[in-house]
Amino acid sequence: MESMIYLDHAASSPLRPEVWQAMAEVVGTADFNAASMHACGRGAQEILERARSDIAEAVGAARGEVFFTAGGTASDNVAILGFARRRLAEKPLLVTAAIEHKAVLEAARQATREGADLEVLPVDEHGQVEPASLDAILESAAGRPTLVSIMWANNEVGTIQAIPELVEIAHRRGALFHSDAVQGFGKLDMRRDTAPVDMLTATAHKLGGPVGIGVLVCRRGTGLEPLVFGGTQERGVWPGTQNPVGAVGFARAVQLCVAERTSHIPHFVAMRDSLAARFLEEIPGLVIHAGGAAQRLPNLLSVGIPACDQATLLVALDMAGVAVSSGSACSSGTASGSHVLNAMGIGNEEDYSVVRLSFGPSTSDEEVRIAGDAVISAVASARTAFAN
Amino acid sequence: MADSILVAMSGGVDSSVAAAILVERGERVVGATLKTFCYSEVAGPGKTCCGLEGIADARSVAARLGIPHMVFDVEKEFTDDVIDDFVSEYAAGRTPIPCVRCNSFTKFRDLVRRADSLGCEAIATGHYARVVRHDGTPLLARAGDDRKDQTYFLWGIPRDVLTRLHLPIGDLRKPAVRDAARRIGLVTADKPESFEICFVPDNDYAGVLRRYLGDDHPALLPGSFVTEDGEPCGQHDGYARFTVGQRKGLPGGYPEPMFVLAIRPEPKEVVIGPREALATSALVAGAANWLTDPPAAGDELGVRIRHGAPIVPARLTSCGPDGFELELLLPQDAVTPGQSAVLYRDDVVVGGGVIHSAGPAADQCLSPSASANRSRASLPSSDRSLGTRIATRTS
Repeated sequence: MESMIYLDHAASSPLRPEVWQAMAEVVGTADFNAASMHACGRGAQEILERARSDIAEAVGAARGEVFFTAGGTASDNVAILGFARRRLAEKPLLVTAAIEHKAVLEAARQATREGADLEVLPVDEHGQVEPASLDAILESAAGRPTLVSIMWANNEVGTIQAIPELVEIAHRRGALFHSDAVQGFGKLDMRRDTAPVDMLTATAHKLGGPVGIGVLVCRRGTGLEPLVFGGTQERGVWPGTQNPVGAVGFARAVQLCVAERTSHIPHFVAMRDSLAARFLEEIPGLVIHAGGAAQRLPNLLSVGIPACDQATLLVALDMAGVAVSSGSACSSGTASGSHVLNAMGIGNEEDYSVVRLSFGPSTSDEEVRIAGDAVISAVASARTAFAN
Repeated sequence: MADSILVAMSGGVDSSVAAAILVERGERVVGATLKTFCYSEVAGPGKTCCGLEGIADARSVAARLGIPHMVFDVEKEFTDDVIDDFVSEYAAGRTPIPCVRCNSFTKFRDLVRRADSLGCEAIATGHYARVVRHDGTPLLARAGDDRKDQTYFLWGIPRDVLTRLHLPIGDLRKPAVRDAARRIGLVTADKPESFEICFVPDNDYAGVLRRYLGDDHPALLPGSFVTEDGEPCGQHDGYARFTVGQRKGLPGGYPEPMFVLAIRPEPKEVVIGPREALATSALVAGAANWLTDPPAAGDELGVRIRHGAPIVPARLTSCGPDGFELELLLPQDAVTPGQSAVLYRDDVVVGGGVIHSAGPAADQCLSPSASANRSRASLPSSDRSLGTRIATRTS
């Protein structure tokens, strides 16, 4: 593994040394049941609450508005199903977008089986939701309890939505707004005063924190029905013994990410754009996904390569020691299965390959250059394969 | 990657150990799993493939062995070449072997294609069979463990694959394979053996047929049991539920056990009779494939007509490019249309074909005009003349 060039931070960004150091420092004080009445339990709880406070600060929320969960999928499900189930008698409406993560789309589809209605907004060729389309839907739905759930930044192609504008429309029409912010969290400004979302999903492992802990930041009074039962931890939103050590890691990762924003973001953008320019020059027919979007994730580049065999390409890169993916983390490795690209009207032809490269804090210019070489040569061999 | 070997890894213990043996030999190994179908019958957003246990196990084994691993999606090819054939063969009253079909048309072809695209010079699988060389010519030979021998399923692979095929466990017995898996610490070491057809959950093949053919297909509708004389003797609930030689589910009240002798799709009849009526001393096979130079009429060879059946002596009475006729020197019970007739010379697989019928055939069935190249085929044809059927089978 040591020799791998890891450019798949959008799938999971390895635990940062500073993070595991912070976690190691609380071993012995935080690794107890935070609900226990004794001193050990209280100590763990104090550490948990400090971590909660640190994460709240990053989005300008109150500490009591941050609920720890098992991760992004859990938070999305709590937001969507929790909202719908509380309001089933009033025939709630869920509005989301075609490029959402499956954690949102499938939770919303489950809600429709339970009696909610669902509207899925289309996106343009760059994966952007047209704000006017949201307005039109909400106008016709006036008077019903409505939750709009639109992701902050897309995990497959990197499109950033016009969240402040979309939130303004939702609120004007009396709807609540949730955003799956798993991908941009820490990197983008998500403070309440810029984009006053009602609920926000984030997870630690996308920014160098531990896997298995996420948050739902939820404005007071939102009113969610719990999905799991058997305890009052996290005020019943996500019961079960809490994870103070994980929370410390998450909080440390967020702090690092926020502190490094001004230095890392321009570096990510420079690496992303020079790599894109190089690909465009050296790989005939290559397409930059979401290339024309108003805003894109600085650390993610997704490219489409027609007439190129996906599996061959990925394994050639794997063997060359470059870890990238074809989109979301799915071992079946088929691009045609991407609902995101389908929604953008891209990649429907056979043998359309996708490579997603995503950077993290440790990514260097040299690594990106080597990975670029590897992609170019792997494409050449995968295209030969296709030609045969 | 020029000197590397692409190993098909199903996630089972055999192919896991095959990969491990090659790694221990110091070969450069790349693992590959063919994703042939989706267990989930619900198409749409809930459909998930990458959670399949076999894929996850193969990935874990590859990680343990420190080799790259990839998943090829061949679902479409598998459906076209294997499942469609399976369904149409049953609809035509025959008893197909999808594993033969998969090895002949999907697995090895796709593996070779990927090996070529990755620049891997060789491929390997975890089959119980051996590649031996005779004067430099590679030949497919029976496994060291005759009870596990899988050559019955491999006769249809393209002959040129043999030059670059490795079968690392072909000399081993199953317990030795499991021991090796445990010694290396593979997660698959104690995985139970699978006896099912991979795309037929719970062995409910009638359920699969219903899904593809619809409930009202003649093969699944009631019809008559008849005796050899054409005398009706009861009702069956769909001829696709029967196979030649079957004893279960037949009408009772006879002094001796009755067996299925034949299936006649057109009148939806299942012909039954006593055991002695099952015996035949000749068979006709189509869709032939040769893994040595083709034999000639008059050659005496061994033949296996069912998986696990003994190899029995036979004489080729005719042999064309697409099929052959055999005289069985010891009469055999239940020569079943759709099953394979695999020909052996000692341990070596000469080739094989798909059994078309018991007994001698009309002349035209082996005429050159019936020849067509072997590629993806899908039956059925409403024209049931012998020549047409064999041509269809191999087109």
